[in-house]
Amino acid sequence: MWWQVSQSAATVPRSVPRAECSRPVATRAPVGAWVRGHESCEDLSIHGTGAQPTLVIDRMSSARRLADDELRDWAETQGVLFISSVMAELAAERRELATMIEGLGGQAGAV
Amino acid sequence: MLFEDFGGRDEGAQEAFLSGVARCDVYLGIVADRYGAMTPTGRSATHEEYREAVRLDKRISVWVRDGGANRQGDARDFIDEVRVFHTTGSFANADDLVRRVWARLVEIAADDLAPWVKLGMVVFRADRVTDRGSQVRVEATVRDPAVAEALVALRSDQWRRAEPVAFTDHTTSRRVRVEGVTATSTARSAQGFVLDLAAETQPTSSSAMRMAVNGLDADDVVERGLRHRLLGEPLPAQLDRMGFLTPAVSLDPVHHLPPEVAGSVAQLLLVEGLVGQGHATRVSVRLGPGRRGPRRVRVEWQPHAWGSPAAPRVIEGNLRDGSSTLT
Repeated sequence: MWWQVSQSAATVPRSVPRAECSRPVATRAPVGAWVRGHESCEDLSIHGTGAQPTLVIDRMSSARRLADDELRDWAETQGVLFISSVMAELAAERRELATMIEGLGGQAGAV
Repeated sequence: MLFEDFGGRDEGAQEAFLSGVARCDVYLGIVADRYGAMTPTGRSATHEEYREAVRLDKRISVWVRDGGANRQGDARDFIDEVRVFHTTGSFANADDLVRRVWARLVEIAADDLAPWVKLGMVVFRADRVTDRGSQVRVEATVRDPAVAEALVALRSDQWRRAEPVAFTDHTTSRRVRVEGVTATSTARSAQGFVLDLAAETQPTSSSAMRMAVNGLDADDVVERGLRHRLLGEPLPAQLDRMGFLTPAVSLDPVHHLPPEVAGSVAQLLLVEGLVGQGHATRVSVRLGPGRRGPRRVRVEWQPHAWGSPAAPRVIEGNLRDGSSTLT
């Protein structure tokens, strides 16, 4: 089984604990290279195939921007956003944060 | 509602604010120069609240005011403690703080609304997961061509993916068969996916080999195995040549990931290895940012109560270097 190492996705070889398996461990490959999925005992025990692709992790979608109404809907499902600080020193910050959270539809509990 | 509105904190408020932390979904900590008055525990109320939020596995966001030349020593120590597991944000004034917290809440909401999942060897964010027990539907918007390709490769009509794979979210893991993969081009840079999965087992069913070995009970074996695999501690002599009894978990893949992604991926890998294999009913993972030295990791899990109640287990330490070799 062959897999290509992606530039955008984090494609990471799985390690093979040597205590359980004496097969050679795949080395890290450069972006764009075609690599062969390596075997591992743990994968054998689960899948019974002997071949295992590397982990493909999506990092591009983590920057998804929520619409304001999505954020508001989310905030309304939150019980309390708890503000924790020294009171006197940060009175203005606490007040403005509480106002923002309540304006968003959430509840601010603060001490 | 601010406590100031009730006339401030008094000696009896300790219990009240800890219960406030217990009720919250998101903990927002703010630190400037002052540490705050000591409570009977020897820590300030803010510090106690932070620790309670950690103990209860709340989502945590801590903000430190710029400057800090006059910051009290205890406050510095508190910030250092926070930074072991959390990236702190900075702010200049109240307006700046509000703007930055807003942006952070958007990120937290995005995490909630687009949870990370793992299907087979693909880790991605789902727009929605509809769980009907035996049938699970996952909807996702994918912008990464490699991830899209890997999801298409899961189609069950391709011989190499006919076998069940693990489907894992942040709390559960189960074996599923991929019954359908529908890809729709929604934009030039994105594809919409609908994945229909048939669950083979219930999320909490046990599939792992669990065994007491030479004075170590099955949960001791799990703990020693995790200590070995995650923290690099040697396996005890009782487990010599019996490492196959320990959970097959590695956090090596997270070494190359930024903190905001690494924690979610670590959670999925531990849930798959512990909950999915029947070693635990609940797992909570905290992973430090590791910007200045090794990443700190803390894993707490609730072992299955096979006949008698089991206390939660916790391991904490520096994450094993991903390039080192297990022995």
